[in-house]
Amino acid sequence: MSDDADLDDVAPGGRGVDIAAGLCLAALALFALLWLIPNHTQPADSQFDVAPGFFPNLAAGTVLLLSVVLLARRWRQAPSGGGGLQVITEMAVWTALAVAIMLALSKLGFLVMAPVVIAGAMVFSGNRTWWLIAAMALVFPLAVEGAAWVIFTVDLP
Amino acid sequence: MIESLLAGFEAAFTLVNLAFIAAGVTLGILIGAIPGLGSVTALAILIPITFYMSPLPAIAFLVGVNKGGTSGGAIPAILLNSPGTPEAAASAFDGYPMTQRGEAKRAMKYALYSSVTGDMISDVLLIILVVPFAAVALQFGPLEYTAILIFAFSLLAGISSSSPTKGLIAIFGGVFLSTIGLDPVDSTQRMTFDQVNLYDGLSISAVAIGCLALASVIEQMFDLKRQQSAAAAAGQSQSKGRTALPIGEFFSHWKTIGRSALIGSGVGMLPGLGVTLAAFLSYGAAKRASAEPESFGKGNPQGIIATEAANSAVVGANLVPTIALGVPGNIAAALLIGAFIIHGIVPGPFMMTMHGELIYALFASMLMANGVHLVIGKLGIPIWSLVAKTPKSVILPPVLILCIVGVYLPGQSLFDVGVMLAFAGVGLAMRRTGFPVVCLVIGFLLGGMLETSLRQSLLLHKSDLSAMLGSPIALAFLALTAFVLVRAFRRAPKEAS
Repeated sequence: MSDDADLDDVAPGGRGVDIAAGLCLAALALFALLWLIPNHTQPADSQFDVAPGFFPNLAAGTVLLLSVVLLARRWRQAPSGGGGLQVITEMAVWTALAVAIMLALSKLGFLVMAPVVIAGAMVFSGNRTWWLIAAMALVFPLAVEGAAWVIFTVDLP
Repeated sequence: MIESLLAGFEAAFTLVNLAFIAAGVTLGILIGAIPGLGSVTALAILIPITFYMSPLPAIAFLVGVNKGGTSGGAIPAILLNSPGTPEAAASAFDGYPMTQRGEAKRAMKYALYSSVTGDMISDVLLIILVVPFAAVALQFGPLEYTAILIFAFSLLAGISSSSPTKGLIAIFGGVFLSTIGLDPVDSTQRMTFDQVNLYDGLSISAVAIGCLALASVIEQMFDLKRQQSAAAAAGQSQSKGRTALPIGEFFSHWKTIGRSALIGSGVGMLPGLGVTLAAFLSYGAAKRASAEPESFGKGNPQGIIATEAANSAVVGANLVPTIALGVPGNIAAALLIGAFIIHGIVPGPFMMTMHGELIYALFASMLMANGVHLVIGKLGIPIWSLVAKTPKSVILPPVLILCIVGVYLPGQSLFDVGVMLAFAGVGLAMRRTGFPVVCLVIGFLLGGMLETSLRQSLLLHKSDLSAMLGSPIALAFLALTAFVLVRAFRRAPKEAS
């Protein structure tokens, strides 16, 4: 590839974020190739055609190869951009929220989880119209629960 | 054929039939607009309603549902950048930037007109080509399918990101995820950790809704948090853009409309390739053919036209293998086959001779359904446009809840909800780091098909891939793959700079 090709991977996130992403992806691909696929794909070979692990290995191997290509290209570029901390913060916040939503949904039920999530999300997004927040948090989950039962005959958890 | 079609119109043009078509299109649009509940779910839910109906209104109703459900997915994609189905993802590329410019109504009109036009072209092709094209479709074996899918992946990597490397990583990541579950040949477990929930693999709707719709919702909420209340109170459209779309202006894009409808029809006639592939192949073709490819993804209406005309064209064309061979083109067509059988019609080579009158009445109903779709869609645009004027801080939280409910409803599985929440995080990280989320989803969606066709090819040709040289179709697609990849890597630096 020419020098131009080095610019191929210019994208949101900047050089540092891309290098971190490349390293993470390469590590994940190695994890899949060395531990996950060999230990959790049975049997090792097939009497009919290629082994069941052939295609996962092919996909993970390609990801590893492309991650190395991404790393090599971005490594040679001048430092640019940033935003790595933002990605990590947002991921941490979302992980905590997702766990809370799952726990609330499974332990307390939809009619408890949904109003809290709607109200919380509206406030988080900057809405401060309290009557609207209260109305949305109360009416919307009830409407959805009712519609799910009437239309799909499904009882939400 | 003309006489048969006229007789079909005579049978189909009744008030009852029109009412059922209208009801089907309306319900299809409403259900299709909810993230996670596309045309397939709409059909699955509504088929039992047709049990007590006579065959023609029943099938016409379901065809209306399918048409409405396919175009309904474009609504959240354009208004909220939250495509509810993978096939609508490309509509968001240009539809959402138009909404941000205050042109939501125009974008939705483009989507509706393209959808109806693409559908109409595909229906006409269905009527003309149903028998001869079925014979061509039989020429496509596993080798040809493998080549088409590899071509589709290379095209996707080239169009969906400024970095083809990132696009390819995302695609193969998706392909890897698609291998979780039971092996398609040996039925042995692969990376399931003895979890029954994983035997069928990760749920497609959970991965797609998590990565595409929910990740977009979360991203927008984080952005709102940064901008805080000023933008939240101001509503989505900061500026008032054009809302009118004269029909002449729409048809000035006739080349894109025609090309996309043909791509959608071609893909639809080949069993199994599906709506999403058609949408992205068409988007890529429109971008490559455009004099301003850099304007795609920034609110170029041709992006919407290409996507919607192609994915709607699949709806009619899918019935070619369904009617001619009894082989469903996709899940929606498989459900329609079920409905045919319930009503005493056995799809297959004898369908045209045994039920010719009914089939031509069905063709007439499909053409009528396009007119009904246009009217109902136009009536709905002002209502949907209100969403664009409502502050995001009011719209996004209910969409988050709808995503959860939309994924829970089909399988009633909390595991799927958990998978969706996890993939929302993956989608968010990918969006923030410039990896194209849509590549991951389509890699996941088509990965199983690629594996099956590749392994069938290896079995058929005793692992000798030089058999590709004996298939002109496969060779042509592989040559196109090489061309598209080289072009994508050469163009990427220019676009990025």
